[in-house]
Amino acid sequence: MSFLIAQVASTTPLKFPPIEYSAIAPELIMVVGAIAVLLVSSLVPRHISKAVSITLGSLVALVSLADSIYLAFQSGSPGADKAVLAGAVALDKFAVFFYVLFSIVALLTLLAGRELMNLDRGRITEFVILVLLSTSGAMLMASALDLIVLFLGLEILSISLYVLVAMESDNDRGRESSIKYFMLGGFSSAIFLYGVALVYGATGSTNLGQIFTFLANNLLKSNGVLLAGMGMILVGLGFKISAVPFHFWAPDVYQGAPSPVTGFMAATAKAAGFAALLRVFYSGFIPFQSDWVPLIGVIAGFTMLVGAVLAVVQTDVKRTLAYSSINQAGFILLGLYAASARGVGASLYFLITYSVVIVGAFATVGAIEKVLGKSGVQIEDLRGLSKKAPFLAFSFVTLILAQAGAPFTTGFLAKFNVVLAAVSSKHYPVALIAMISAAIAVFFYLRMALMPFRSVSVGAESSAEGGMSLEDSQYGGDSAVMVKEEISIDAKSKLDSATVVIAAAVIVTIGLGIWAGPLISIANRAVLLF
Amino acid sequence: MTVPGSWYLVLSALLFSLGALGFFTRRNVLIMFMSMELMLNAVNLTFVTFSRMLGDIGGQTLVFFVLVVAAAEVVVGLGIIVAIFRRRSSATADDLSIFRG
Repeated sequence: MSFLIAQVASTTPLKFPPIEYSAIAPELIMVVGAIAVLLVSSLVPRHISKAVSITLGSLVALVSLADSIYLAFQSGSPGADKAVLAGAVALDKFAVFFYVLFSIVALLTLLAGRELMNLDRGRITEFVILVLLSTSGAMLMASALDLIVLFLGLEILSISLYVLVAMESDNDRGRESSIKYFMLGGFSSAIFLYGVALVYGATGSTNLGQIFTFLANNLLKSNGVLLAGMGMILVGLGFKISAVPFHFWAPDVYQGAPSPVTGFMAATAKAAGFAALLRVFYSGFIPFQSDWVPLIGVIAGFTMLVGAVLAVVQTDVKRTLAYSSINQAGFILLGLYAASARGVGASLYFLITYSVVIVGAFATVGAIEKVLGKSGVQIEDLRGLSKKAPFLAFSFVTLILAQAGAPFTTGFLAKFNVVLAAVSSKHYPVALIAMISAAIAVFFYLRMALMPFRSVSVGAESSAEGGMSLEDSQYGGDSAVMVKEEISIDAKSKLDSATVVIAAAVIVTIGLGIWAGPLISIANRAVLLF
Repeated sequence: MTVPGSWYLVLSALLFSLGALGFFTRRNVLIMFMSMELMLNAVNLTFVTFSRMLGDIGGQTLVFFVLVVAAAEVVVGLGIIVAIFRRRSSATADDLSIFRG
């Protein structure tokens, strides 16, 4: 016994790597904030716990946003980009770009969820906590320089999301989509992890910097293990960004999840997947560029085409938006396929505009569900929305047109830039597919965007076919009373936080669509992986 | 008798494939769940084998991360499975049929 103590005493103290807490401050704020919300909301009286947890949660997201913006200004100085925490986490413009993006999305989701989540009073606290934790995982994914840290971020993000999807009480659809998401998410994580193990075996490290150094300096005699590992990592992340052929879970999950959660998932989970994909392939596997770039091109082409074609035949609004988001993922992949700084910059710009649009769009769908008093809005249900809820109809149309890439919205430049990047890298076939898929997509976007302006057919089936008809104008006087009633419902809900979210998304989409310069230059500056 | 490292790699690849096969062919959600765990454990075996072959302790520490994450996944996954199948008699994936198209 005394020998053991002497042994312990004589050994030199353990050396820990220096930890720069400021570099991972946004993640820490999210995690500590989530715990604080949990504590405080359980200490305050029951009737104010909802208000307290939402307010505190939004504050946490705001503080994280402020810190991310502070880090963004810091990272402007030369030499500010560095690897911290023993090389496991990066503090660079790329990571900070995603910190800002994720903080904004978390804030918007909390505000939208306050009105639109159908929860018991106590469970709104859980919603807040899970959104914050999930965001911290996404941030970790964007800044990870080590494949295992990336995996941890991925799981923190995903496991919180599985619960968020299943949270609503009395929502069987939510639970069913949760189990599908969980099963396929777990499966894809396992594939991703096996890829990590194979890459570790082939290169002797899970650190992206060391993987790069190894691959750049050594000529591998047989690279089968490495290629298999790279392929499996691509498949695993492909599931997360719902790229074809790993997209099949997305429509079910997007349709069944509560609308604010769907928006959160479509923005954060997808952006985190793309951040990880960019980081891993552009800073780790770049010496094997000729092996994986063509693969990304094929996936991008199929993703754009399949997403657009399958969206045309859908009847449910959220399901259509899910296929639309698959289509958008293809466009973002197109920027990666261009394999140039310009292409990646275009992808990042696409990601940030897409995230704002999709959060706003799903919040709008959630608000429409509330106005119509039913979950699962069909495209046909949108008829006459412009009279019932003019603001919602206007926002819905704007955000849909932005996804279609209409001029004067952020969507136009986003699509234009990625296609331009692909063309300038001489990837003509895939650029052509992109334009064809954009044209197909315009069809279903317009079908959805025009529906709110069509009048409701009153008793007459024929007018449902013909849209506007004389018959409807005859019933004009009759329905005016109804319309007045429903406008007052709309007016009552005008000042809630979900409306603020929708309005913010619309203003950003149109405002930055017209005044686009700053955001594009920010996105281009966030590219430093070359 | 010494066993070459590649045998372990082949074994873990087989286990991983078995898990993937089970995941796609079995209809019982719990069995699919177990297949997923089998895949994760195959990954662990791969990590340990490579760690031994490379003489690098890093690979063995990674196994702990994987184990912890797998445990967290089990907790959440079983919770969801119980929530959805509490009111049904069997836990087969064919019952999950709200969504079509």
